[in-house]
Amino acid sequence: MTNENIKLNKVKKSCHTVCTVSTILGVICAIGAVLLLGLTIFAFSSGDLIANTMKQSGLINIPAVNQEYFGDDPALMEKMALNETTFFNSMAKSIALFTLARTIPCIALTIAFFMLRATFITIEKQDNPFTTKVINRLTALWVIVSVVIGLTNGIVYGILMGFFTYVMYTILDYGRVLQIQSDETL
Amino acid sequence: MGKIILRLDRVMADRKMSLNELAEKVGISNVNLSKMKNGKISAIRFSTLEAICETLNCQPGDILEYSKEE
Repeated sequence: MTNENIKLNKVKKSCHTVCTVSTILGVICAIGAVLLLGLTIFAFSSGDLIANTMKQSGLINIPAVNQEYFGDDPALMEKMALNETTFFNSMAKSIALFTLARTIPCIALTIAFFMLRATFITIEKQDNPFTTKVINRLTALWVIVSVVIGLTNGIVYGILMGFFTYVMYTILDYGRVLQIQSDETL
Repeated sequence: MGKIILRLDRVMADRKMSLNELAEKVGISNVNLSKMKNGKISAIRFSTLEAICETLNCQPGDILEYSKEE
């Protein structure tokens, strides 16, 4: 077995490991995304139900707080009760928005993990990591990760990741040129 | 700018050696040797050239030729 083949076998083994890990993580993210999406839809559609449950649970009692400031005037209390429902309703909507904000990165990560899996299966099958298909897939994957990082951790981290993506693309592109030269050399 | 032409077919014809036989003796696939014969490669390793010259009992200059393009 030549040195090239030994190294290629190592690449194949590591690709296989990444495939397995990314499949597991992709499935976990997919389940998470479905659950979060379900919760978002539930929170959006059942705002009143959540509001009533929260109100009945007595975890947050607005009139009790407001009574200290506004006294026990019945008209004012009625108005406050109306405000209370509105408050819990908007709180339910806030929960929905919060879960939606977590759902989008979760969906993006699911796509990223399955793209990673597909890319490493391609490398394993083609016996060559420096092909246009692999490089384009990896770049698309890094772009998705950059966007997710930008959305979740802040724009500065997103820009840094974008810069890393560009640098990695140029390195891989150079690798592609070297691979073509190597393939055409006998 | 000129180009390097491989005259492998000429030397093989002189030695009356088939493509498959040469491929087997040199230790490369006949597909790759065919590419070499038809000039569809951009570089050749010294080790490959050495093996071909040894098998065909010739000099590198017998196989490689420089052609000036007009």
